[in-house]
Amino acid sequence: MVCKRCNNEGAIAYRYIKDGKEYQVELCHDCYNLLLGRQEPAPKKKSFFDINLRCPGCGTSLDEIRRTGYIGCADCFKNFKNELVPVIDAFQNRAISRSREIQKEKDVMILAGEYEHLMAENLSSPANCAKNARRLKDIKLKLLALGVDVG
Amino acid sequence: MADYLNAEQYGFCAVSSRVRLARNLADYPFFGPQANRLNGEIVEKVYRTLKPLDTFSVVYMNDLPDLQAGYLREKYFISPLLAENRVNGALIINKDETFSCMVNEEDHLREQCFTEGLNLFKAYEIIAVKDKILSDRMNFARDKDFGYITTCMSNVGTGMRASVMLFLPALHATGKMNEVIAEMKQKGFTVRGVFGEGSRGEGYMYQISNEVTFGFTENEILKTVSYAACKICDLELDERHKIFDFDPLRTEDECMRAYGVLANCKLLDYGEFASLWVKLALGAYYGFYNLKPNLLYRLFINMRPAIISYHEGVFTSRDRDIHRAKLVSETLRGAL
Repeated sequence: MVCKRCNNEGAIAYRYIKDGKEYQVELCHDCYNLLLGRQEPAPKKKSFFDINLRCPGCGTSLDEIRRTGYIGCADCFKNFKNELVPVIDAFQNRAISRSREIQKEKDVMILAGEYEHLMAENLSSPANCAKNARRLKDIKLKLLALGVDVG
Repeated sequence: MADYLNAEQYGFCAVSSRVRLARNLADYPFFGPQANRLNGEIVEKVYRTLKPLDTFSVVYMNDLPDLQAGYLREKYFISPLLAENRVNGALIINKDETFSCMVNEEDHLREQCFTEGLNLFKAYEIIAVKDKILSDRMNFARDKDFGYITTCMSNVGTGMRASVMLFLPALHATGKMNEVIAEMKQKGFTVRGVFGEGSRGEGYMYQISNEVTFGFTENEILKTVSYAACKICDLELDERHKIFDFDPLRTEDECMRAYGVLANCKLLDYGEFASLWVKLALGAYYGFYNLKPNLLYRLFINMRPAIISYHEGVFTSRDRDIHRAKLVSETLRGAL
């Protein structure tokens, strides 16, 4: 069942009486509590799966964009940029993945370069070891995350 | 890598090149009822910006007669989608028909430039100048990470579609066309019939273009499409040699018969013309008569029904057949 207020799934039918007449409304747990004044509404987190998000510029929904591949206006792109990356990827046949691989190579090069520089500093003056220890550890972890083990 | 840039050798295979740039204006909706209401003024804006650069004319889709629409379609200046936009679609085209801009097609602007043969870099040189001027004076929808924002996700990024029209009868005859199409698809190219998406290969003409517009620079796209077109031309020319070597006399006989009918007939319908033209073009490649590739390709396009009706002012199929036969025989006179 869909909540009449926020359109989320998981609503329950609540019955109430007003002016001697019985009414029924479908609400989710949060909206029900909100109605009763029990809690503040949670700020809406933007989720790729929130199909009812609409562009404030032209009213096109994220679901429509995902299904058709058509963007309604420049604001759609600004508002849904992160959510649209996998959609663009699907339409563009992994071009984004390829450019991300290139970006990953660049990141590895930059981090590896800094690592070598700091190691060289440590060798030239032992006083630098303490100063550089934290940064070196940080770089090692980042390189490991990118699949490079510097030992 | 420089070898593939020597496009002259592919003259009997590469018909024409086209570069298309898709652009949207940031201040207008891209499609839908709002777009229909507001986007009429885009035509005037674009025309005012382009006017000082060359002699341009505007063709509005809303009062375009069917004959003229057919003419523009057969010359590849407009797509079926633009022809259907009778609300605010328009075509802005320069006098020598090398640069045109479809307005309110799928995107607000679809700039396009055509050149003969395999010449994508030259087409891009021409279109880039006009695009820069339009970009400086109009507010194109653009994102700093993703590039140009187009209506359809398949064009986001450079918004560029680089295509080459190829004449591939030998690959068809030897049954290798499907293999080529499948291989090109795997490498990120699309191969379509002569009228673009969804059309069949009329006259054995196919269009190869890049599928991906994001994650590559314009230069990379031009290089890869040029290279792919050259590779297909190499395959086609190999197959042509194999066909000739198999039975030279029969090949010459077929080509000369085609020449004989086309040069002498009095009634010529388009279907018969198209099938004879293929043999005529192959005969020119084998050197049986003196016909340049550009002349042949222009002949193929200009004999289309709507183009003949438009230029000659004839509207029945019999009159078109008479004029077609006359124009073809005049063109072929003296080629032997």
